[in-house]
Amino acid sequence: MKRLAARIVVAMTLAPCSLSAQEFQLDAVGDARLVAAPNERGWRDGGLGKTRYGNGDVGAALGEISAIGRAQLLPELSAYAHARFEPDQRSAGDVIEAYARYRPVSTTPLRWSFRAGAFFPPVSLENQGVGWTSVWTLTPSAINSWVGEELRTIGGEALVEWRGVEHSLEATAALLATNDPAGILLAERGWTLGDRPIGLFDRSRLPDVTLRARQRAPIYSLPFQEIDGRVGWYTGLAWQASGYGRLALLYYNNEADGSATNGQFAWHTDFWSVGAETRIDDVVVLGQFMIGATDFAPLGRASHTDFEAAYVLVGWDLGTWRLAGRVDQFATKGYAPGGGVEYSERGYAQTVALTWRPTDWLRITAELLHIESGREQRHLEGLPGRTDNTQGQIAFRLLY
Amino acid sequence: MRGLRQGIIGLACLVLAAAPLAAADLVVQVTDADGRPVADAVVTLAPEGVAAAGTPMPRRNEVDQRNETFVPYVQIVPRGGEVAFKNSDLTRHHVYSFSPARAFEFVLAPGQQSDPVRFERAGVVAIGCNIHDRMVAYLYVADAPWATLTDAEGRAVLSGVPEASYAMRAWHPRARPGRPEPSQKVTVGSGANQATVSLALLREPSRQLDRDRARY
Repeated sequence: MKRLAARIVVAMTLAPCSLSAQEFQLDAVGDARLVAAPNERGWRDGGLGKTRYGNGDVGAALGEISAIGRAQLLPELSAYAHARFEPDQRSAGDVIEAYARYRPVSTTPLRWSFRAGAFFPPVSLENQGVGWTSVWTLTPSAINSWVGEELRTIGGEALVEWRGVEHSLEATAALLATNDPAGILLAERGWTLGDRPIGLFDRSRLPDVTLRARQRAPIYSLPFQEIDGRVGWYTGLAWQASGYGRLALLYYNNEADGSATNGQFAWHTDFWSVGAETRIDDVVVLGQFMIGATDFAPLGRASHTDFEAAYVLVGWDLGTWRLAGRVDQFATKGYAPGGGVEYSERGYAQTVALTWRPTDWLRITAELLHIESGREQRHLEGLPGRTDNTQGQIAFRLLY
Repeated sequence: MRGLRQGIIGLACLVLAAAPLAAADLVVQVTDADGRPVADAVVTLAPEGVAAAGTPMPRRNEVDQRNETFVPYVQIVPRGGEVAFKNSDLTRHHVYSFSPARAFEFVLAPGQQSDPVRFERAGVVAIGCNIHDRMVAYLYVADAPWATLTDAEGRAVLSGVPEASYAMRAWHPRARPGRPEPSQKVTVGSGANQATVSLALLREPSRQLDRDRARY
């Protein structure tokens, strides 16, 4: 996979060199922030905290530096790549997405397109900003935090659009590989809320108190691995009505064989996602619901984790100001073979964010995120099962 | 003598009958359902019953592409008129339309101008760029003898309209698609003529470029 991804990155990097500068568009995002983190040890440090920052840290942090390039190779063929630097990632530079899209023009209501490479499956209604950021909050919902952490379509996706007068329909289908470990974080650690999508060459830290760990901490999951040789897929439908909004449905199945291993086990994960978006004057309402399961069967001993999450976001666009509020609910339920212990979770989160856009190139966002979570796994750390995490951030985001 | 008088009266009647009706201006204020002025609305005027030649509209028109935006956003084209598309940007554009009134597509290199596209069918032609999805513009191919656009204050002025009764219609890109244009009867007389139109418009985000949002 690494070799494939490296080739894609090199191709994306070299492609613009043969183009006129006008056919290459570069965006950049620099994000520095002040953070007041909750006391619980964060997941990036092997803890069970729910927020991106933990350990009671108070101070400045570099959110990310991203470069996003788009090259128009032919009128119908474009290439896109998003490279990022973030202090905690495994390599100095990493790639979040890199793909090519072929979309011939159509003079009928039907239009088709195809893209291939590495990209997010079309789940999130929040992450419509430059570099897969949200324009409403710093921290995406639990659903889209997980999408960023564990999912990437490394494969191909076809999209057919029917563009009617009053309504539009979209149907999409994709084949994907190298996403076999997806699901392990939900089962072993539970839902989290963080705006740090994982790079193609990065790894995710599992909780030090994970039940299945035979290794010593720190224990990592490499999310983009092909373990069983099976091809995963997803398919989706979206309906959009002019002036009313959008409704999207997606089913995802990585088709992984939960008993397969290459040193790291595959997790068979499938889920349904439904999302809706509407706008009433300057107010936008987004909602998503996800329900699914992940299975893992080392040596024939199957364990099963159901997961579900939902959120509703209300955003108010006031010109240079944006105000957003979101409530999240999330849960997992684990079942182990033979009455073994599996950990379940139930939690809620409330997010309020205020963004000021004084110029074209500067965004200042203040966000307060409060999460309540009940997860017995914390007992292994000598902590109460229930926890409250509150994280405050003020981010200064420069756009180029 | 009596015959001469009758002749003069008859001639006068003939001259009066043959003389064109006095022409006036009609000022139309277009608002949305909340009373806010609506810019870029098309207002058309068609005489009731009989055909009439209106104020000539330019038959050769141009749509420019500047800063990845079609300029103008809405343009009126008389049926049978033509539009040339110009690319003033430093990047390629792939101009297209799949509107039933006229479907076409072509790639325009920076600085290039297309051959004129002729519009034989009345109706709305939505235009897009297959490379830059945010680019959109509308051509209103008009059958009516009088048609004009509202300004930023939602005001449209139809000049040189003969005194008579007309069917007045209005359209806007955010008018509910698939619905007939609202029509109302107006009578143009001597002096100041004013009319108002209220349009039910769909909600839509601002067309202004938002740097926060992905442009891909």
